[in-house]
Amino acid sequence: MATDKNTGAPDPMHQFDIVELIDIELFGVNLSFTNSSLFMVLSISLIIFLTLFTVNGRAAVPSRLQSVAELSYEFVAKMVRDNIGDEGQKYFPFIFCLFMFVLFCNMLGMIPYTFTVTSHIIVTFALALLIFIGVTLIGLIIHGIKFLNFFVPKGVPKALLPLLVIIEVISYLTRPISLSVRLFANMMAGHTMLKVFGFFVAGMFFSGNFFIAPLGIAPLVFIVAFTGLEILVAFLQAYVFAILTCIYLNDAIHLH
Amino acid sequence: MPKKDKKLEDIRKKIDDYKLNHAHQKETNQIKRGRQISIALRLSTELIIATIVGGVLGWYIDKWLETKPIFFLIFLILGIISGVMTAIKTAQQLYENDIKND
Repeated sequence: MATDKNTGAPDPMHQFDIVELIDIELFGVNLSFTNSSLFMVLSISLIIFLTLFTVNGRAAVPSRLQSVAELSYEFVAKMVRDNIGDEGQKYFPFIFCLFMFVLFCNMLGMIPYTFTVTSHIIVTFALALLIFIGVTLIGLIIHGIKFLNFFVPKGVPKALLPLLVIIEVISYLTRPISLSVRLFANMMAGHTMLKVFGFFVAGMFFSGNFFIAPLGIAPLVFIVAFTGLEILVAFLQAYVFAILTCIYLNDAIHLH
Repeated sequence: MPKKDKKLEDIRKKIDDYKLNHAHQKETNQIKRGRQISIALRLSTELIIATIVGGVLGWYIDKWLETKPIFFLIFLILGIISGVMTAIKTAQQLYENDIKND
């Protein structure tokens, strides 16, 4: 059990520690291969395996893994078509990569003793910032300077316009932060909660007290139910991340 | 024999009916529920983060112009407004989508 070095108390945050596995330093920058990088590589390898090697047979009656690959492809393709329309098809590869990466990182984190990459805000914020800058650039390239009309709401009195433009700018700047914080906070909170209740189970079962030990079943039941919920959240967060990227792209491509 | 055939036919009809109506209904309900949870997650964070972004922006403008609490307060309120407006806009879009789908 992960415990605090100084006090020996259970430490539910220990699971989020970054451990450097291979030390690499280039030009004074720490580029070490950490456990976080390891799980990113792992999830990418799994995605590559799923999307390249399971569909090799191209069987008319697909194997289980092949149908998983086909289902995820269709799921994302439908999401892109529904939210952006036909112009969105060229962004499909990006959305698909994003969805699969977040989904696999979240799901790998649900296996005990693994590391959840998306529970670090720097990872989710880097993804969100990439989307934010990319979407802004796409909007600017497609519409040129007219893209700034995005911040000017239609049909409002002139006197209110400056105020509303500021509000629109704030809500635009909110996007990358809310996108990243949502994913990070959900993953971190869920995993911390699982660990805390895990400590309750272990602590109560092995307390040596005949009255308290049987009560340990209560947090155990909770943990089982909560793990199910966490798997749902892991999927939903990947879905929300991908669908919001679609919505932002749609806003940039189709100005009001 | 014909009696047995009729029974089989009846059962097959029942299964087809169930497949057509029930199974599909259940699946769409589940998908709908997941979608609703995802919307709830979206709206709740957007409300909070918009407030924080407004506050932080105001704070830095104050620091830059040395006009402590004025811009912080103004932008905090603007942040809250923008959060609520985003929520309303999203809700409106969802409502329109629902009407389109029904």
